[in-house]
Amino acid sequence: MKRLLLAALLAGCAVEAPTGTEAPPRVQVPVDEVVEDTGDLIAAKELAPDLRGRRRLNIDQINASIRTTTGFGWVDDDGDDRFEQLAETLGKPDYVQNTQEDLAPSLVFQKFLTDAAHAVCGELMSAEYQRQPEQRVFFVHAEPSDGVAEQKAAVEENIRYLLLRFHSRKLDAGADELDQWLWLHESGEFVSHDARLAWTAVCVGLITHPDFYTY
Amino acid sequence: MTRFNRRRFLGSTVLGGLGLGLGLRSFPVALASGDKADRYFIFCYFGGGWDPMLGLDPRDPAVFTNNVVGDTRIHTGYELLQDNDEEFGPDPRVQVAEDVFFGPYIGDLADHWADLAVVRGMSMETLGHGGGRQRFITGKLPSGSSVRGSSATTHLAALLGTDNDIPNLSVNVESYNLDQPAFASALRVGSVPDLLATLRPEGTDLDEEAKRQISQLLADAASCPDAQRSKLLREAEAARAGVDELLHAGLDAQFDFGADSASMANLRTHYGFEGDNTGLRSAEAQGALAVTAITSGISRCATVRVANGLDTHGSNWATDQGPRQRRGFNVIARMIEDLKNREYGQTGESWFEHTTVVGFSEFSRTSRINAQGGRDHALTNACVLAGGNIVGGQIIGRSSDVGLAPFPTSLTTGQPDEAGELIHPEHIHRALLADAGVTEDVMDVRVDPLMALLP
Repeated sequence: MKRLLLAALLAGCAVEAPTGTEAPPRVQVPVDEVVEDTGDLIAAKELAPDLRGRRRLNIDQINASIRTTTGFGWVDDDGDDRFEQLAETLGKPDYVQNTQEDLAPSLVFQKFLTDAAHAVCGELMSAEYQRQPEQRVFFVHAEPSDGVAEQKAAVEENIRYLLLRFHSRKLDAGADELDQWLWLHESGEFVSHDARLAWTAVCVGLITHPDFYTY
Repeated sequence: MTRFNRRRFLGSTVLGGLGLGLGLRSFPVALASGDKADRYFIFCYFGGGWDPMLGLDPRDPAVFTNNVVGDTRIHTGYELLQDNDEEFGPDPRVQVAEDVFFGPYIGDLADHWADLAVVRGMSMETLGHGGGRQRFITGKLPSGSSVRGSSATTHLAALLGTDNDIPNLSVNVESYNLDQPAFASALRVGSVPDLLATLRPEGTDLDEEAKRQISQLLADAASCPDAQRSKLLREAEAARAGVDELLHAGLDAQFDFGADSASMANLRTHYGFEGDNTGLRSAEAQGALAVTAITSGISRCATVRVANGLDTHGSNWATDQGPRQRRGFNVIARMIEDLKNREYGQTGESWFEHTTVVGFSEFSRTSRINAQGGRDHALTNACVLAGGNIVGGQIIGRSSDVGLAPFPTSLTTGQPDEAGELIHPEHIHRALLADAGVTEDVMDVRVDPLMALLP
């Protein structure tokens, strides 16, 4: 487990540009050259085209993204949309009292995004287990029962597909950035002895990762 | 008492920036340590722009008659009021002391006159709802629709709330943090049920270990140089870590006002709301929430919306403006009573002696009735304060007897004074900060405090 954790820590920050993409290589700005508390402002000479300040998706966009990627919405027992129920709390404008949406990645936002992720991922796993392989949207390159130990290639291939589906990140086979997700799957399986829960953890991680809700 | 100083502030900023508190109950810590001023704050917002002539700043209908409206440019409109619950005489004002009157809809707040400081003739300098709200909340005129400063509650929470689980709580009212540490940002929710949902863990298939692993992956991602360079991603990670701490703090039971327990039943009875979904989303429930958050040590500052729908441009002014104001004033009255009934630690003092309650609206309404039978937006405002060190039983400032214009006031005596200044919201914020021991202009509002509020 410690080996896995170390590998993940080392690989978690991998920024090697994958081959086969058209994105230009990133200019790495050393952290110690960035003054704290200046937001996303970086001296103009250091700016690269892909280093714009990130923004959070608004609630409608997140709702649509979750429904598009998983096929399920976050709903209550009556089928009513929880994002709609929580619109005021999540900072959606009502165009009576306010007209601008609060796009801060606040504590309340994080709480309910996590709740949504757990809910839809549970639904998605249940559905995927019932579906024929050609109908699946989550297990496209791996079987639900596949684990890293026995089917590493299939699991890795599926995670590459999921990162493209959820984060629009196209990674090559063997890319360092895959390691953290493989670690999450493997350690989840190690602890729970249940591949389904391991994949559920991957699903929740994908939705609660900033690459899903920021751009 | 040890006052908060800049060095202490900077130190707490570093600690506080790590997350939203450290999962500790604040009351014993704050009180025992004596590190911070023992001051707490509740802001009560009346949404839509209130009419002070019906509440905080009335006029004598025998003097301001309809015959002299051309001269005074003031039409009390008292004869137009339509209230199913009350019948008003020719002078519907409520007298609370010699020469001190409130409007007919002051409600039960009049019973607390001895504790109230009413500021009249305050200038807002803006007529937009959002702009007026931002003006009062931040003490600065916004630039277009963009605020130019952090909320007063954010500043107060940053200075005093390092030990609180939710230093700054806001229900249905916006809050801003442009320049203060992340922990001081308001936790904003729309209602009591939504706060409960925020504080309660949701059911999930995953066990705690699996959730920790996900959290580890996200924390690792946030520690990368790319993520560290982004202010938004740093804030996102701080907030995400804060969720874990908040859920583990187990605060939800404090706000489960619908629970079938004697204490919650008493609370509902005192504030006058039911335990159903409608009741829990009411202004009365928000009042209970604010007092609970403060007195349980969870928050330093709480902001709630105690009245809504006050933007009465048409005939609904005669039917709705007054009753809606009265409902909000009654909520404040219940809060004052609740605070007075709760002992502050084992000091023999009440929480009311340590908690300042502020009632405000974004602006007021015109002194004359418009062609639709309502009132439009007006610059001259009023507000009411009570509790803490606020000197009660006083009226500060006045609006003019011609058109209800702002009038200069002495900041030290509170009396109308041609040589004084027009009172703005920031004068009040500075007084609240001064009461908390902060004499520096930390909000950078560049005015002096309205010291007449304090002993």
